[in-house]
Amino acid sequence: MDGWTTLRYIYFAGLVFNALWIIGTNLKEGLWGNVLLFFNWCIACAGAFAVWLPTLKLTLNALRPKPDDQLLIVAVAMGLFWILFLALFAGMRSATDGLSRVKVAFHPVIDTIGSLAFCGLLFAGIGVASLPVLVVLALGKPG
Amino acid sequence: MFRSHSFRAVQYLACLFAVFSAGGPSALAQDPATMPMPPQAAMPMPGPAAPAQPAAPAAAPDPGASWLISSGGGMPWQVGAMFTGFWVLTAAEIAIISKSANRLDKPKKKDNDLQAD
Repeated sequence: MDGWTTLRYIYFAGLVFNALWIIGTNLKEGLWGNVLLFFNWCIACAGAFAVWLPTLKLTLNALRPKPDDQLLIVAVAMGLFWILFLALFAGMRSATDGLSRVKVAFHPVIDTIGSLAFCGLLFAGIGVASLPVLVVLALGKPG
Repeated sequence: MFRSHSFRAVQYLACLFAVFSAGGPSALAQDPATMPMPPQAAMPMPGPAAPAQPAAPAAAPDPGASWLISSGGGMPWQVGAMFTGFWVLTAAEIAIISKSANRLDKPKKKDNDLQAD
């Protein structure tokens, strides 16, 4: 097995690990907590995307990569997006934790199903956001 | 506890990444520094010459079975950096997600102090 294939397996194993971790830690949060978490994640993604392109332009102007440095450009672009996203996400979570000190009660069945649904949506979002890594591993292998 | 578990998970992934992206044991076997020395060739004896054997075609190098950071043929270092960075940042994301989980169930420090009093 070559390194490219192995990294793909590690990638999928990591996604399964993430899914189990999210379900294990956040299912008890209930529907309201998971709705807040999911919308925090979405808003952080949208905000990061809004400031990503101008920041990337500035960074690449400073780095001045050579024309054959496509992988470096992809790596810088991905890293920049993730750092912007994490900064916004951490800020949003801190603000939400400070502002929302109540737990909205729902019917227990709706609460459980809603928790699962929004945990699933959050995991799907994380999976979709990590697709560029899979694309690099799938297309980058020479030959 | 969460920090130690996540740190171990990251360590584990990094070790897997380092070992397998290098091609695993096959890369060690192909490394000239770790290859066993071949036996010394016997001295040629006088006599009728043996028919010449056709040369075996050179095996094509396996691009994945070389060390991660290599000058040619292996995985570009940017891919390794991208992959490792991706998982480190994902671990940070999961840490942010988990940090505020069950936040309403945690008693405040002030409440504990009052109960102790």
